[in-house]
Amino acid sequence: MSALLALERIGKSFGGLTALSDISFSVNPGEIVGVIGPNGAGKTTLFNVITALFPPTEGSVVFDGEAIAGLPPHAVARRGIGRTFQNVRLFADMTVEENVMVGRHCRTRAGALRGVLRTRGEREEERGIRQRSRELLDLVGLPGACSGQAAGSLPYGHQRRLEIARALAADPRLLLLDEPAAGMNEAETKEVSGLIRKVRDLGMTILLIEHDMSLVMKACDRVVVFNFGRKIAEGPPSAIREDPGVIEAYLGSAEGAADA
Amino acid sequence: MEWINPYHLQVASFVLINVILGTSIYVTLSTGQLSLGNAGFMSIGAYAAALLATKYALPIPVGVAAGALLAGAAGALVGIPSLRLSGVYLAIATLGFGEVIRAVAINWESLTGGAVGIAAIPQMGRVVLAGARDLGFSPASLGLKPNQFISLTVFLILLVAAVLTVAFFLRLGRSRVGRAYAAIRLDERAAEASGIPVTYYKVLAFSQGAMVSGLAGALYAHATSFISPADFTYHRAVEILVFAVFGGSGHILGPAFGAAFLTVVPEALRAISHYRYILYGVLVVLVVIYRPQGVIDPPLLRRMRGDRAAEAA
Amino acid sequence: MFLEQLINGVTLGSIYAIVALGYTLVFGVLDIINMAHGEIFMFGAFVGMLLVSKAGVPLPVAFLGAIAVTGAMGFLLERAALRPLRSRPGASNLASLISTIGVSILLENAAHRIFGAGNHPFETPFAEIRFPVGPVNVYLVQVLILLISLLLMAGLALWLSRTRGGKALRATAEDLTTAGLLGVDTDRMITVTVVIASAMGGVAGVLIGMAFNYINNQIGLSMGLKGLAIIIFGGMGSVYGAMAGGLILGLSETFVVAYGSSGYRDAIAFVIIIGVLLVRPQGLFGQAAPGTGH
Repeated sequence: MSALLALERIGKSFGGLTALSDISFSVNPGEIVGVIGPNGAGKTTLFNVITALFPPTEGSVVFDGEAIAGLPPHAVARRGIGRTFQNVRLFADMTVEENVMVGRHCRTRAGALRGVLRTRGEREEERGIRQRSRELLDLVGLPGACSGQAAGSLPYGHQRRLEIARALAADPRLLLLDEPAAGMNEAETKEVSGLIRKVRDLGMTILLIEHDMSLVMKACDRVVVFNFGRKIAEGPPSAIREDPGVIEAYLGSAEGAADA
Repeated sequence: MEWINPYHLQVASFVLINVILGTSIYVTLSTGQLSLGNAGFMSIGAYAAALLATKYALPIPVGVAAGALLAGAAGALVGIPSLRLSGVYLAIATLGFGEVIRAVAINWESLTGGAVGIAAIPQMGRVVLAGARDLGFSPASLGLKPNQFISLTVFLILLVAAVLTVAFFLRLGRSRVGRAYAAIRLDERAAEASGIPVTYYKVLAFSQGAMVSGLAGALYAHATSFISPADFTYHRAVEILVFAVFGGSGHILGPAFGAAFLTVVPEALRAISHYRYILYGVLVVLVVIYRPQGVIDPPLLRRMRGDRAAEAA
Repeated sequence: MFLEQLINGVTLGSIYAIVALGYTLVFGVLDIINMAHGEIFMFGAFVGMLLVSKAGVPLPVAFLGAIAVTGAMGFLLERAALRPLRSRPGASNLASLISTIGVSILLENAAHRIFGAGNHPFETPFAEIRFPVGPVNVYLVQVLILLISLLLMAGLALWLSRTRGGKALRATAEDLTTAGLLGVDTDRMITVTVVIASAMGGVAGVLIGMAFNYINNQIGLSMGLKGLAIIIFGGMGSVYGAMAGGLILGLSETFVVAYGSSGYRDAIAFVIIIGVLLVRPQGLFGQAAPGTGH
């Protein structure tokens, strides 16, 4: 089985600061892989490199057998990598439904003229977008009643779900989730965990950053551990839990982060 | 038909041209870009239309379309810098562009008539009247004096143009492209990550805004039959901006309202008109501080619609 | 003749530099373009004109009068149009650009109402005094303009690099939030900056009057646009960029007029703007690329 995403010796530095060095690992189709590590370990930087928000200083990102370095972010999204952000980035003034509809952008075609003339094809496409958006809102567990509400007015937990729905709208093959359970209570975290597995069962591959250990241990097939911009361990959750290096780096240095 | 007052119609015509101009700045703003070059694009449309009509005797609709398209093309060219510029830099660069265009208009005398400008541009009302007379029609049969007929014709043509322009962007706003514009304005990075080619849409919006400015300019030329570089100064660009800031740039009806309100009120209240621009200045500062989204914003429109729905129920 | 043009160019350029410094100081600290700066120094020019031509006071008094008025205007501008936006979360720097445009419309038209349209002669008693320096005749006015500009620039550079106030200002320019955390009263620093920038505008206004022998309510706009061109050319927020950019623009305008066409003189600034933004958006002395960040 060939990997869906392969990171080959990724390095990233900002000025003189090294954020990532020599990161290599891969994600296989259908897997849920967790990225853990203390705050500042470079996890979000890795996501930003994968989604081309900025280019790696070294190494290459191979997605589905092709190097995607040098592509602009929207093209990476089009290739099939979707993401959410650590500090939820919704289009706050748009409605909940419109947020998901925006996510559908790269799978639809109607240009300005067709949009204004409302040709038959365009109307059909819009209907499709709307229907798909409703399905996705349903999937992530957002009540249909809130679809006309401004996204910024949703409670925090719902905003996180909405962001996942928006990412799913682009039909990604790989979904990057940046702390999907941050700021959630135990019950909500459980729901998110269930949602992640549900999404995987639909055929998606997931790479997620998470501080909540219970979620990582339950949901992930494999875990990659970062510290100071380097990968210090990789393996199934049960092995990671026992790894003395991980325990020291992770629990020893950042207890605060671990229970965050 | 005494109530048809050419002066009122003329004011109304300027309102309509300003509504189109307000729309032009709205379109670029709807992707979060501020253009201070719309007076420049307006002059491209105006000069192109005027020259095609006076030097090549082309029919007015052809000249107007050509003027708008040319301005749109110039917009695409100038819009490319928006690939790398943002915020205040783009605003200043477009301001500079407008001034360069004006300098060219003043100095390329053989083509543009220099500082004097171009006179005797076919006035659309007169052209329609002449055409109608050729067909044996007399405005008197409608009970209209010729000058009433001319003003009315200009007004109606501009009304159609303004309504079509606003309707175009109203519909665009509710389409896939409109959602992409709004997404870019609200969060460029999230828009990118959602698969929206940000650069493409920014240039598209910029070019559309320029095209609409050019359309307004071309119509202006054929409504007033006289243009000169003084019509397209920095002050015009700022006036267009004021329409959008005052009226609100969150919804297309905002700039349209701003243009209409700020054109009509000074005309209606002569006492004010002396202090018109001073008031503009005060208004802008007050609006930016106390109602940064402008007078009209989507929640207000929703409330108004809600009230109407509630009354109907 | 080349040497004369060189002197004219340097004179004009030093005025441009002073104008540009007003913009760049405010941008350096606040990251906003004060579009009202042109109108503020236009008022400075009018105050200077009234004092010199109408009241007949000596030139230094006129400078002081202009400085007092424009400094006060800067203070009011900061309080009325900038500070209210700072306290509001999420206000972009476009908002302050627009609010200062509002102030500029207000001031330009207020000047129109107060002083009327058209040119007002700006008569200095020594306008015609000139003396030979080598092969060329130099006007006393030119020497004065150059001296005053140089003094002002040197003073500013010294103040920024040597004094506590100047260092606090630079810290504020570096990073507003951090400076605040370090105990710098940033609100006060911002007020000081805007007042100093505006007071320099007062000097610039009087210099413009001296150089051109007339003023009108449009000089704020025409000279202000050039100031903007210069700071984009020199790098936004860069003090030395403003000085160098001013000289370069003054010289190129003078030589284009002398050896080319006068009609395009005012377009040079904007060709520069567009060219620089396309080729080197951070400007001559700028560092960060403007397309990113903020």
